[in-house]
Order: sequence, then structure tokens, then C-alpha cells
Amino acid sequence: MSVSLFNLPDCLMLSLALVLIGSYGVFRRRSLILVLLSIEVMLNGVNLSLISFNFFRWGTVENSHYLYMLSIGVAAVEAAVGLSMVIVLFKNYNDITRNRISQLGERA
Amino acid sequence: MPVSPVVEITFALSALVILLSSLAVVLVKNPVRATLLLIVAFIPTSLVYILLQAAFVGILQILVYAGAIMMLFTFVIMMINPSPKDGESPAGGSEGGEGGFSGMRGALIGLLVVGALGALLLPKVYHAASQVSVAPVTKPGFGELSSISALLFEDPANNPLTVSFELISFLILVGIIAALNFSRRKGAEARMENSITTRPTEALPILQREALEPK
Amino acid sequence: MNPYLLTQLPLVGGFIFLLFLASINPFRKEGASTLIAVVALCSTAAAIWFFLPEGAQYFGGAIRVTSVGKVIAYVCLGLTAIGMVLSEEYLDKVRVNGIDWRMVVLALALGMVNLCLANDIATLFIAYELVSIPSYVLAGFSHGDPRSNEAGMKYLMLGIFTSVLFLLGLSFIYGATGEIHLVAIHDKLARAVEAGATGDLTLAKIGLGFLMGAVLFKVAVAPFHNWLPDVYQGTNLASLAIISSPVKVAVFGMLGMLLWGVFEPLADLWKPVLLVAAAISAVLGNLQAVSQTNLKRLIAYSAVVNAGFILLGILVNSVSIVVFYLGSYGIMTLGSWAALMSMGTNQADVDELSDLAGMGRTHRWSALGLTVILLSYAGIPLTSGFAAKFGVVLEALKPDAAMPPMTLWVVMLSVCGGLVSFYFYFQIIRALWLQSPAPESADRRLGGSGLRWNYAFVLILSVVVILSLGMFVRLPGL
Repeated sequence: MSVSLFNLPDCLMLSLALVLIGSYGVFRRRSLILVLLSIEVMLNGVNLSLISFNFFRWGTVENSHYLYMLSIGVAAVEAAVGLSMVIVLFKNYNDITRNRISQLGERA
Repeated sequence: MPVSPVVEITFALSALVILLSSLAVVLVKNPVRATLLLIVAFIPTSLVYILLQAAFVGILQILVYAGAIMMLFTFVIMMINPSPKDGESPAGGSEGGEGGFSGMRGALIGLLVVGALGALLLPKVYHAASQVSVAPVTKPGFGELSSISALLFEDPANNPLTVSFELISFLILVGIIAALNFSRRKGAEARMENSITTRPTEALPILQREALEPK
Repeated sequence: MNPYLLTQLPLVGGFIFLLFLASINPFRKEGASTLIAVVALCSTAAAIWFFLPEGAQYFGGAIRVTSVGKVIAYVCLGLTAIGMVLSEEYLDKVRVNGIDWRMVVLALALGMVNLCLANDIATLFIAYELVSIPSYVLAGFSHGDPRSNEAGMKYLMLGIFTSVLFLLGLSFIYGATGEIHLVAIHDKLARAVEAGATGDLTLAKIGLGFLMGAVLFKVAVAPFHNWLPDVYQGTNLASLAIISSPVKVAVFGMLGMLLWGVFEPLADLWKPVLLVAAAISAVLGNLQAVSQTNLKRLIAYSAVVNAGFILLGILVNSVSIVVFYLGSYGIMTLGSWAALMSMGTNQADVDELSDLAGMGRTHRWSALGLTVILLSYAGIPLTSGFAAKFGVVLEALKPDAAMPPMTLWVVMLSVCGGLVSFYFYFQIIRALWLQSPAPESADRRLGGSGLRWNYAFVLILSVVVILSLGMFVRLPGL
């Protein structure tokens, strides 16, 4: 096999790298909007892995193209619900930083 | 399997741009910049989709993802972030500061966890994927609109994709109902009298409560 | 007409009918919406009973009816209907728009039914999302209350994160097998195990790892359970009744069906994972519950402990025990929320353990019902909680079951954890009956709804079910 970049392992590496970058953002980011954005980065990586599996291995039916459409539909709903919750939070707390929104928890 | 060098170079450059701009999304302070950088990451992603013979998916990526969903984010950031001053804006949140996992230590811990996970996972996946790697065989017309539409709409009474397609419409309805409900004003609530959620002080927004509490 | 569509018709019809009601007059308090929703849920259950024969496939195999799926669908629909009855008056008290709430719950029920019947990756993914996203919405539904906002946000963030991992797992499984039908995936995996195709198997195992991580996060099994108490604490009781009982049953049912069915060839991967998770749940859940003073947080930790037991049940491949456990756990949880709702005042829910002091005198019947339910949680003989736990332990100790090593130790750990849990359940019972009411509880005098008919109905139902399941049902192996 010749050395080539455009193959299944490399596409999977790219997609998993996106997932890891996104999850780093999910754990690190303080602002809730930026956490949602990091989740979109992860989802981008997942979609890439779906499409590349379909092309490199199972190129007879476009099943994962359909899964991709479902996944962006779900992403849209999640973004809508999440952002409307962010707005409600902002109304009540005047802040959307993760650490400052902490009324729940164990009380001494 | 011979892959034309144009494809190779396009893929390599797109991958580089995707990785760099995604990293920037996770690292920059300004939320508007983060959103725009994510759109920048989406454009080469759709280019990769086109290389993967998924042109329709690539178009959807631009139209729906970059065009609609990211605009949603931009609008919300604009809505709750009218005037960023002193480098600290509500939408951006204050990076670092209070909390256990913040500042340099938090970054180090996060990097360690993600790095360990990656070091564990990536070689395994790479190895397994190169074991199963064969020359891609695609049917004629793979990824073209006619082929996808046949997959989606052929024989709807027996098509396995019909159920999920119908169910997602309910998902979107739930999203709409949720957004409507969250945006209801106090007027709707005032109608339902004699109703306080929790202890009277706890139902107040936090700022008002802080003002009421004795220092 | 396609019988599958017939079973979805009541839920969809009820949803659209409520949508009309809501759009005609959005702010009117609509008493009929409960009735419509309950009728829709019950008629869906009836339609599944009458029209869906076992083993039938619809829509080219996207829907496959199995006996386990049918039973879990009944349990979910029944628990949702009970939760709907429970919400009748409470929603006004917490300023939640009833019609909106019931629409979201009906959509959630649609997701649960499809989760039990799904037979391909696409349907499974959408049904999973249709169960998850409405639960986040329910958690944050009383949007005037900052604590509810926080609970909803926390649930949403973690939920979206895990559903991305869920999709990643599905993608790897698709990549390893090239199929989206679950039965075909099972066949391919079995063949790959036989042929020793390491590349495919590694991909499938990584996919299964992501999938299980996501689902275990979702059902709050121990290393991933820290969000659960916060969500329980912030959510209003009516939404909590839905989130904590039918949703849990549906997701556990899905996990069980996936592991027993599709991923049965990969049993040597998932069995140890479940075992470790069950052990950590037994230890952490009990230890953290002991120090809790907040009632909802305490019940959340007890949910973690119960999740560990359900995992053990899934591990021993015993369908009847798992379904029994899920049903009894679901009805117990609903009953305990009913008791707490009837004890709250118009101003405040019962929140802290100290709020319960003296309830045995002021709310005698609710306290009595809650006591029976707590005894069942703790696993006192003659209750269904005991029967379920005992059944799991007996199945796990069967000598012929092909169990991973160390199972004995994990079972013993869980039983010891059960002994620890006596302490905190009896803490609640002691507060109910032996402590006198605190003098400062002035807002008690503001009056509450007391034991309304719907709370009484749910409480009596759950006590009757707990006792009769505990005394009269003979599980296989007992």
C-alpha cells in the first residue's frame, strides 16, 4: 500500500481529534454558550467519522448520509433548547458563567 | 490505490484548517470570535465531505449548520452580550478565577485527561482502521441527490427510514414548545395565583436576593 | 392500516389535540388536558397489547416487536400515566403551564415506546433523543425558579455531551459492521467473533465502549452520578416523577435489550464493565447518601444504589428479574413523590429532612404510605424491593451462570451497601414518626393541598403494588 493521506485511518484520526478537542472545551469552558459551541465541535467530528466510514468501507448504501441529516436535526433542536435555557438563566442570574450558577448542592 | 495528489493536498490542507480553527474555538476568549471560527471550521469540513463523495451532505453542512445553527448562536450572544467591557463579557464568562478546576492548573488537568484518553484511543483506532482498510468501492451515483432521495423516499410504507424521519418532527416540535415556554412572560404566571415555587426568597432572582440579604 | 401506526396514533393525536387547545387559548388553565393525556397513554398501551404481535416487523425492519420491549413499553406508559395523574394540581402550584408540560410528556412517551421497539440505528438514535431532550426541558420547566434553571441546564449540558458520545458509538458500530439494522449487526458481530476479525472487532468494541459510557452516564451509574442529586434537587416534583421513573425504566430497558440482543457476542467486554460500575455504585451511592440532609438528594443517591442493582440484574441475563426490578422501582419512586407532594404547603415543597419532622401526626396517611415505600426501598421482606434485590442476588449466585470472576464479591458489596442504606432510610422514618414538628415552621400553617384524591390514589396504588408484588409474585429462581 502506498503512503497516502486520504484514507480511513486518517479521516478517523481527524474526527477523533475533533471529538477530543471538543471534550476539552466542554470541561474547560466556563461560559455555557461556549460549552454548547464545544459540543458542536465534537458533533462535527462524529459526523465526519460517520461519512468517512460510509465512503471508505460500505459504499453501496448512503445510510450514514441519512444519519448525518438526523444528527444535524438533533443538533438544531439541542441548540434551540440549550440557548433558550441560557437566555432564561441570564434573566435570572444576569450571568452565564458555570461556577456562579450554583445554588444547588450540599448545604452545611 | 492511487489517489490523485490534488485530493491528497486538499484533504491535508482542509484537515489542518479544521484542526486549527476547532482548537481556536475551544481556546479564544471572545464568544463571537469562537462562533465565527467554528463556521471557518465548517467550510473545509464540507470540502472533505465533497471529497468523500457526499456532496449533498457538504451542502447541508454549509446551509443548515453554518447558516442556521451558528446564526442562532450568534443571535443569542448578541442578545445577552450588548457591551463587552474590561475583557469580561457575560457571554464569554470569566475564564479562570474561582472554582477548583480553573486557571493554569485546570488547563493542565484537562490537557492531561484528554491527552491520556487520546493516547489510549487514537493508536488503537488507527491500527484497527488500517487493518480493515481496503480500496473504497462505491456504487455508481453514490452520494448523489437522486440516490439519496431514492433511499429516503422510495416505498414509504416499507422504508426503514420513515419512522425516524417522522419522529424527528416531534423532536423539533418539542424544541419549539420548550423555547415558547421558556419565553413566556410573568403575565402568564400571574394568572395562576397563590403559587410560589419554593421558599419565598428563593424564588427571587439571585441579584435581588443578594440585595435583600443582610451583609 | 399498518398496526404499528395504529399504536402511535393515540399519542400523536393527543399531542396534536393539546397543541390545538394551547394555541386557541394559551393561558387558560385546562383541566381536561390531564384526562386527554392519560387516555392517550392508556390507549397506546392497549393498542400495543391488541395489535402488535410478538416477532412482527414493520417498516422494513425499522420496528421489531419483542416480548421484552412490549412489557417495558407497558411499564413506561403506565408509569407515565400515573405521573400525569400526579401532576394534576401540583403544576399550578409551581407555576408551570399544564398544557405545555403535558405535550412535552406525550412526546417523551412517544420516544419511550419507540425506544422499546426500535430495531435500527436511526430509529434508536432518534428515540433516544426523543426521550432525552424532553427530560431536559422538564427539568427546567418552572423557568421562574433559578434552581430549576440550574437543574435543567446541568442536565442539558451533560445530556448533550453524552448523546454525542452515543452517536459516536453508533457510528463506530456502523463502521465495523456496515449495517444499520440491529439484527443484522448482531449477526455480523457474531460472525466476526467466530472468524476472529480483529480490526472489525476492535472498532465495534470501541463503539460499544462509547455507547455504554453514554448510557451509563444517562442513567447515573456511579462514577458518573454526581450530576443526579443536583438535578433532583432543582427539578419540581411533577417533572421529577417523570424523569426519575419512566425515563429511567425506558433507558435501562434499552440498555438491557441492546446488551442481551445485539451485543451478546461482545459479552466479554460489557460484563466486566457492568460489574465494576455496579460495585462502585453500591459503595459510593450508599456512602454519599448517609451524609445527606436534603430529601431529594437522598432519594437521588438511593437511585444510584438501585441502578447498581439493576446493572447486576442485566449482568446475569435475567430478563424477568430486570423487568420486575424496574417496575417495582418505578412505582416506589412515584409513590414517594406523591407522599412528598401531599406533605408540601402552598408555599414550599418538603425539602430538607427536618421539614418532615412530625409529619406522622399532621399528615398521618401520607406518612404511613411513605413509610411502607421507604421500607421497600430499604429491602425489608414482604415488600417488592426485597423481592427484587433478593432475586438479583440469587440469580447472580447461581453456580451455572457464566459470570465474570469477582461477581461474588460485588454481590456481597451490594448487600452490605443495602445494610448501610437501612441507616438513611430509617433516618427519614424516624423524622416522620418520632420527632416533633419544629416550632419555626410557620409556613406550615399556610395550608397545603393535603392528601388530594390524586395523591391518595397514587399512594394507595403504589403501596398495594409494592405489597402484592412482594408477597404474591413468584419470580423464577426464588
